[in-house]
Amino acid sequence: MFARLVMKSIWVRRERFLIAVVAIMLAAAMVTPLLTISFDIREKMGKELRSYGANLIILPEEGGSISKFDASHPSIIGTAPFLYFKANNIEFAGTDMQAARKMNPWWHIEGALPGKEEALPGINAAKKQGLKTGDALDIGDSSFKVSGVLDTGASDDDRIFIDFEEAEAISGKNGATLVQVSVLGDIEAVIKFLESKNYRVKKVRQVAESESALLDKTQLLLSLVALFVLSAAILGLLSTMITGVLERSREIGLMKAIGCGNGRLAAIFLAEAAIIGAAGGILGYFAGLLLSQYIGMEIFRTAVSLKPEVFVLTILVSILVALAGSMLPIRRALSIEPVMTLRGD
Amino acid sequence: MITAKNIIKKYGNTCALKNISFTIEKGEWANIMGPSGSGKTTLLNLVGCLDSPTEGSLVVNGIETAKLNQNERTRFRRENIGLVFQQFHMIPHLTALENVMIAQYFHSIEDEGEAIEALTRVGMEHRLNHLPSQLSGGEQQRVCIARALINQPEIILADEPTGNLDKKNEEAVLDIFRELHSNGKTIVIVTHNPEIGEIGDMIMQISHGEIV
Repeated sequence: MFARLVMKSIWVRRERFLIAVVAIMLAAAMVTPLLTISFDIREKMGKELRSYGANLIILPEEGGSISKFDASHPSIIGTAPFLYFKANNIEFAGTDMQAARKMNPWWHIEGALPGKEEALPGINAAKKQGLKTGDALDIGDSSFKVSGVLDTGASDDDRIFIDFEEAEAISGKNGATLVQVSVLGDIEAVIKFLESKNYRVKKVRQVAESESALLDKTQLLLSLVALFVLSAAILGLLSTMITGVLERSREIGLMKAIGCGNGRLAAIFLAEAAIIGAAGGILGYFAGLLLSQYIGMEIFRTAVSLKPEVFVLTILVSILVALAGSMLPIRRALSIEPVMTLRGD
Repeated sequence: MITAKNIIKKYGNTCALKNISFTIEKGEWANIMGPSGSGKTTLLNLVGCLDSPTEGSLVVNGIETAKLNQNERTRFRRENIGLVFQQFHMIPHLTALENVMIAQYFHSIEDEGEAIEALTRVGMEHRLNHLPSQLSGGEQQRVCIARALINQPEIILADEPTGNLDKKNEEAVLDIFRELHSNGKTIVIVTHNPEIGEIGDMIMQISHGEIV
């Protein structure tokens, strides 16, 4: 009976219901891009920023090394350790090749990334040593196969890259002499964090800072717009439902006269509001998705993905907004005295 | 069953009922009669717990109702009273059957079979799925009576139940009340109709808010 009562009540007032749904839809259409920026674009930008390379270089204390780098700060999105050493008058760099590749996307590799017992000489080092892909390279007791040739356009072209652990074994050194760090978010907070761990920190790039600031500003702007639209939706719903309560005062009075308690009466109105919220939320989500795509492409040059959590949160916010807008009308409905509304016939 | 002692009902400075006292025994049919504005409906509303007296004591079915708050009055009505109105008062977008079932739902749990039985009892089994706008006045009133009876209340209160009906429908509705009376229900009817006055066990004649 409850469902029948609610659905029929909505059906007979479908025009008013539609107005309320549109009000919630507009609010949800603002909430969706806001959540998308928080959940999706920020994550995507993080990945994208990693393609810009490291924005911090970490050095150990004078003469020391970094054996276990503390990357526990939430804004640190990637690290790559480097151990530089000389052997047989050749400059070597030991690193985690996968991490280093991600951190230095402009590296051009002719051949493949080196695995265990493989080496990747920089273009200058390869020339100097007469190395090409497939050649063998002996360093002390260790033998390496050249997997390719690296062109960085920088001083790394003079080095031969090998696996970090193998570099530790050959050099007899323990830990990194340099760590590249990619940061997304408050870079100054990360610097403070790392300095508190006694690392020497050098800023490399400002890209992350500016991109993060742009994200923050867009998010703030959308939050403000969403706040206004949500407030407008609450007011719209409130006025729609108040009018509905006034129109239905005789029906409410009758229901109370024949025994409808305040709990049941409130439940009927809350259910109507929740349906309005859910309907507006679903429609608003899809409208918001279009807006998100536009914002993603125009501002951040990245496409937006469908995130289930954005959908769920948009619906929840929409239902909460609808419930908030229905509180005053429900109070009004509960205060209706049946004797007053049934009188005067 | 219903005992009123020195009931006073005031609306602002206007005194609608003045020192009303009466007793209606279980199973009695009492008619409240009097000219328009004399306080008949006000008295019925007090007995039906739709309103509460300004002063005095009103014991209905063993419960002092004068001091009940709005929620308690609603609960009391739900459990003890069946209401029939002159203007029928049905929910316009619900069918006849649903208008009866809604009273079951507010009381406890709806039972479609029982609701159909109640409508059959008032001769409305052929109009179960009709909306109020598709029913005549007499049919609407019979649905309202079915709704008033569905939770088996001890007391039936009716405000001018035949006021908007033609002779034929009036007789049909009165027959239902007669049957309820013979089944031991306590019935209180507000009416202008002297013919109904003759049917009941007692008449309370009210004038200017006083029993005369």
